[in-house]
Amino acid sequence: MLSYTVRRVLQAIPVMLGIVTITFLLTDAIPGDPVSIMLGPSPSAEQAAAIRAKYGLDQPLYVRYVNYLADVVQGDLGRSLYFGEPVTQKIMERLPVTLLLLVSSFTFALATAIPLGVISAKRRNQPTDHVSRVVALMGVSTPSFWIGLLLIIAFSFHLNLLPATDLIMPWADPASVEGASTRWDVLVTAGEHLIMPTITLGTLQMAAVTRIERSAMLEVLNEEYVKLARAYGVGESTILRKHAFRNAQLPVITVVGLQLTQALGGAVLTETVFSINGMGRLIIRAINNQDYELVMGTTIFFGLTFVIGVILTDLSYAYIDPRVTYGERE
Amino acid sequence: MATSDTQSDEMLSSDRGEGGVEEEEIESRVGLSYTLLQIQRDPTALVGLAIITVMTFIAVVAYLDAVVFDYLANYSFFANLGVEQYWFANTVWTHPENDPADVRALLPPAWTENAFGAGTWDHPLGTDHRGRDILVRLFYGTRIAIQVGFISTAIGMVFGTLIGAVAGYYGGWIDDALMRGAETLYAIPFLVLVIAFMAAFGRDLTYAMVGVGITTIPVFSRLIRSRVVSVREEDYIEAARAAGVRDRNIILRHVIPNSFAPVLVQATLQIGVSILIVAGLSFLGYGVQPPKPSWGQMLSNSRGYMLPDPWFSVWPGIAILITVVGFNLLGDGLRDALDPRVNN
Repeated sequence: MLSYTVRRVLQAIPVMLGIVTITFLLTDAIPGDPVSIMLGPSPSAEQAAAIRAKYGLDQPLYVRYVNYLADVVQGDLGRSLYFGEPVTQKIMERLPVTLLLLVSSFTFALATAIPLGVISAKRRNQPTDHVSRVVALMGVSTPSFWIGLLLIIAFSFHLNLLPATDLIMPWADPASVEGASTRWDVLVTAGEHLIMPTITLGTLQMAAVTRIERSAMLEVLNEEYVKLARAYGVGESTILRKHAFRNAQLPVITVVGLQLTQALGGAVLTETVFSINGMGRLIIRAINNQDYELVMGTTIFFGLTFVIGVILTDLSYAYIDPRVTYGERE
Repeated sequence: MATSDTQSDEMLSSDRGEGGVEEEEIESRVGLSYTLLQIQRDPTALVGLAIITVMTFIAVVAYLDAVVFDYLANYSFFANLGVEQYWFANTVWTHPENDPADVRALLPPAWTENAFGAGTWDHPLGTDHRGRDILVRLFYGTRIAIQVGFISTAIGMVFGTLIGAVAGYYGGWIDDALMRGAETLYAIPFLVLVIAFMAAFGRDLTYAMVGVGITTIPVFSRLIRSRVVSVREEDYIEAARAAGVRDRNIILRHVIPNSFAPVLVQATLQIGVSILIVAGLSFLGYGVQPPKPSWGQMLSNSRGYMLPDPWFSVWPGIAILITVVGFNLLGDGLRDALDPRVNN
């Protein structure tokens, strides 16, 4: 287990190097002059030269690449050209917002998708199955941002129930939240703000997980050992819980792991629809502002998150795969 | 005696007959004709196929009307025949661009009314913020969506298949290098990668298609590699190698065709995904540039008018939904047809 972990971490190093290289070259290819962004359209020659020297922009590409790589390895992602703050600080400022959004939408997705998929497989070709399959099909076929727009139209504009913009952090100071005096008020407001973005971002994951859960369960329920258990007279619900469910979770975990990057992409759209100041909007704004350091920093951060996610997924196989644990138990 | 003989004969022959049928079934479970037969039996897959056919037909007509007729109109021969851009829309349908003197913006669908007036059957689904007919813009948007879906998936499929097949066939360091490369592309959120790519090279549709195509390479290369790893151990590959067939030909003629079934399924589903991604890109302002219409861009425009004219936000989403459902239904049908395990 330990040696496997070490090997996976070592394998991740070239991937991280690749991410840094791709982002560096891609951001370098974005047209525009960072100096003019910082100093305005027509800076004096001395000012421009000073800025270039300060940020090392007067050096050739490979020198800048090596320097940047050295900085990244030390955990320094540089300084945002537009905001004038360190990139890591900017990330830490925006990250909680996006994390809150991701955690709540994945909770929503898994809490609905897993029961839905299992029931769908158990009642195959019955009305429940048909309904859940149609829901899942719609979910993977609908653009998430459109769901967001429809929710805003229905629940904010017509029913006037939920706020259409922004997120409130549940741990925010009550004094800073409008109309809130106690912790409870803040929690309620935060919940109200979170419902629509959660559904917007979570629907796709919900649908994708439902589909894979259903097909994985169906496949496992067709296995010989399930038939054997049935022949021995083991109850159907016991088979479902003890024999089928656990074995069916491997492909589900793979999909959830891979959905993580897709969700980060989806967060860009969700944050745009609801005007939430999270990582997704930060990165789009950085690209639009030609804020090179910020683009590279955030992309590398996303990449690192994904690489860690993949390693955790692989490690969880070893934990969940019954072939590993059966040996110890019996 | 005689009866028992005939009985046993019957049993034998019936045994043989059953065995024959089984063999035939196993034999016919691979191959195109069996797949097509399964699709024909699957009503949902047929619905998907019907949706795709209708959407592709609309896309072709829109392409002829907007692009080809515009080109032909430059030649007097065609101009004399009355060929001009938007000929189809102008004659058969409503006006693609409004008469500037009579712009009626944000009209609702024909059967409703809103603060800007009552809907008319001149504009069945209403008009947008500039008074352009929404139905006609959806019609031209179909071309963009279908084009983007097919081309970007084709890019991803061709390169992904080649990379995955080479990696799986050779193994060793080539495998490691190529698959780490694919993993790298996969690790950056695709939307961010495509937007950065488009910011670097250009904001229009061509780069959206190429960008989305590149980001889908890992999907295909991982998929086919997992198949190739087992196919390369098959006897016929060994035989081809022993007969001195060059690696390039083995990969192109034997390895890829024998590992292609899951790729085909994935490609069908991926077209839907690509349409969704490009709609998202257009929504963020990366993609087809105005005044050319795309569904994502229409949704982006509609954001400013959700309160007075909610219908404006509804239609483009429905168009995307229907199209993507079509590809998902066909993809699911293909998967069931190609993978009998799940089917029965």
